[in-house]
Amino acid sequence: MANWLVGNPVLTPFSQHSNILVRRPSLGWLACIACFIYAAPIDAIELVGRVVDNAQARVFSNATVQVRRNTEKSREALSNTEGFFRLSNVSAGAYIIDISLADGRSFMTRLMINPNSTTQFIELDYSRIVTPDDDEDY
Amino acid sequence: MKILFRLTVLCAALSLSTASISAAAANAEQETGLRVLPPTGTELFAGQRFDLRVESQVPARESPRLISLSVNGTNITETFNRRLAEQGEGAESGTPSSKLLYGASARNLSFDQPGHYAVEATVLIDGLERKIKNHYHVAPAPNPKDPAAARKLVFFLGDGVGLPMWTAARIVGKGVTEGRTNEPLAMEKMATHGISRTTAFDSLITDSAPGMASLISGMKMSNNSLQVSVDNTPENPVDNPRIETIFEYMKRVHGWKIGVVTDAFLVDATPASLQAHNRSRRDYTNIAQQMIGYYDDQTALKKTGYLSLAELSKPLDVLMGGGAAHWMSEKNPALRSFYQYPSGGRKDVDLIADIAPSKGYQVVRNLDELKNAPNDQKLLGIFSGEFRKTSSGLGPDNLPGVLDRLVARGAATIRGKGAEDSALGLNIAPPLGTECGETISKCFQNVPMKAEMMNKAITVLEQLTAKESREDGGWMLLVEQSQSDKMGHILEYDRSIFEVIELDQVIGLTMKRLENDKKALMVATSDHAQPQTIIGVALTEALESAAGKCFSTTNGQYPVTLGSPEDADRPCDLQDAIGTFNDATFTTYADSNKDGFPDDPSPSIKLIIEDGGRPTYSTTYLTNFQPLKPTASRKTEDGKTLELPALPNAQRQPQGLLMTGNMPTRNVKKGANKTSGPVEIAPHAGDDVIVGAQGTGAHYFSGYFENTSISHKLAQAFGAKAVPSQQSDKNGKLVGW
Repeated sequence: MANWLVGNPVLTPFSQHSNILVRRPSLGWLACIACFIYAAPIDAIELVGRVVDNAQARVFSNATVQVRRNTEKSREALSNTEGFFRLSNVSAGAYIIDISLADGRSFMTRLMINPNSTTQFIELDYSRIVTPDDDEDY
Repeated sequence: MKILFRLTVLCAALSLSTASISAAAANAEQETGLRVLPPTGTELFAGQRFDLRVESQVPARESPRLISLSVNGTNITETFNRRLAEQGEGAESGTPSSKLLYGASARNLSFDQPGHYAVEATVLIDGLERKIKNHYHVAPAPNPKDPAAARKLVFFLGDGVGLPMWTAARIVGKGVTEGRTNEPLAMEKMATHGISRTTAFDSLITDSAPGMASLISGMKMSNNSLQVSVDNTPENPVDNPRIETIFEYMKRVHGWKIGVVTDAFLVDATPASLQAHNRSRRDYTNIAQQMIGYYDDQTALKKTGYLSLAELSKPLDVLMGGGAAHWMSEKNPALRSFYQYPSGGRKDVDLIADIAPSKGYQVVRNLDELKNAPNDQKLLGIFSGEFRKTSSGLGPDNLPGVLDRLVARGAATIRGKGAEDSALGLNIAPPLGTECGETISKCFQNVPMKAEMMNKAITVLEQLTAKESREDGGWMLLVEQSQSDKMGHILEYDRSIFEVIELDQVIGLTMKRLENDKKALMVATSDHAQPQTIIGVALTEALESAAGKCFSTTNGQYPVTLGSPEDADRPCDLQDAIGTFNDATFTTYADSNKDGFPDDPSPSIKLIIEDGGRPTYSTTYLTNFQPLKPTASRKTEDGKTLELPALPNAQRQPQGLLMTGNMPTRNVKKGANKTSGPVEIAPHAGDDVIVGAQGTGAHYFSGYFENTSISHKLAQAFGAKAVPSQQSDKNGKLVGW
């Protein structure tokens, strides 16, 4: 299993990485959770993604994924052999994601991190953001 | 104070509950990406096949396991797992390569009765039971034996035609007198009109793949997808969970004949949507095989041979369009000498020379052969494209534009110039051989117009249907006007208007041909709009004299000098040439040969269209003699083409008005092609589009609805009973195991 670059520059093996799973709270806990959510900063979201090319039927290992927004220092992760990457403690909000593939190609996309979750998944598809060729399709 | 606190907590709790409900309504459980496909809300009808898939997107720490799967509370886990075992692991079941993901597709199932269905899955992921529930509203199945049912459908798809382009086609094609149109469009004469939303599953701006595909299957799809959902096996675009289109269903269950006519290449997204299933709309070699039902390959396309795909996808009986390179072997000399492809072609088989004839298709390649083809045999027509080396707009995959074919036939001119004028590049020999004609003009003359294709297609479909004499028999034909979109993308507005006029003509011709046929239904709509709008008019003469006197370049190089450099106020003659508000006098398009098309796209007063989304380009508003790309490009060190959306094509009206772009321009590091969103064309728009319907069942198409609802409306027109209430049908079952 490839290592995950979580944050910058701490390396954490994927198998050791915590994945907080929360059952849907019972009604009795709702008020407490609600109070907590309203009082606490929302910065415990884990971003999990996969770097792929659906048109070429590929997943990309060793792709560098940089997550940034204006007011914060950018975060970086490296995709594993199956194309997955993981970043913990991401704050809710809108981000730009820069992806640099191991072969030198790069692309970018946008992401809205939803405050109502602890984990969020995004598929970063190289082919999806390729503009169709003029003489082919649209 | 205590009461206030309690109220606050209550509000907070309610707020959280709302968030939970919203999350539950979404298509994936948030923490694990657990999802059931088809997506919730897919508008199915009874008997319509789909693959039922359960999968997780986020890798777990240990292998996830399906705990239970139920339909309306009835546990079907055992049946589901048994089906998976029968299908076997791997592509047939869509098994992910990662053991840390769960993913399984049971193929070709359907709900046997109309009603509301809830499908709930529970998967054990890292010790916790994760749940996801999807809801489907299942309409009654088509019943063409019903005496009131339609049994013939012509579905017109104006690719990229938003309301402004219908308006433009009416103004240019019909004219205006004292504020009133001289004659409405055929589209306007249709009995019923509605409005359709076009948003894709994963994007506000759809591309043509889900834009068309959703109309005829009822499922929202991601961009670039053809009749499949995205899944967690991106390494395989053919194993994704599929959905049956109403074209496939009517052929499978009722033996209907199905066909497509287009001016794009046949494997392009819109025609391919009828019955091809692929995550990647650009998997052309695979899509071509699906279109004629060829799965028996052992060479380059091993991924094609899935049993469930072959069982689902139904081959087309009539196909006409362009794009020979996706069908012919690279060794077939006709690919060069007739179709004028400088390179390309299949590396495995020749579908045109070998496979299609063996499957009973008559293959034709020009108008003469089309006319002479038998009417009682399956038909595959692949015609030559826009191969002029001096034209950068379309390429040899797509048929020449309507305007250019009319000029070649002597039925139109461009700014007074005919086919014999060297500026048009038509009166010379084709670059790679004269098999299609001695001159390019001769080749273009022999490329059929849409009406010629459509009439032949209907005749063949009628006769093939009659041969089988089925009580429930019928046929469906998709007629696509592709280049209304493709010409719009390259900002060739005048050409795009000609495309919409042709589309409207064939709508009118079909309405006339089928007006006494009580079994016929015609539906016309678009997969999406483009951001064009009508801004005014201009004197062609004024545009010609103003060109070069405003926004001048230095020897064709950019940047430019803004306005008129002699005047400190920097007026611009080209802007001054535009008549708007009180100066928007009526246009003067003429149709002296009464063929329904203007004689010339640049009469004394012409219509001016602009685009709300565009790269940076230059325009005089005069019609280009040949279609040209709007922006510059350059070759990278590794030979790839790098598009430059912020730099106009210096060969295209450099003396024109500089239109500053608003599309993304960022180029890619190290020369990779077209990523990061550089858009060197006018884009698609997120606008809603109009739907017109005429004939039996037309009344179902009024209202304001999702594009996915059109599949239900077609089913109703084909004899399905009224859509039932939202109540669960306790007797309904998932069948097809």
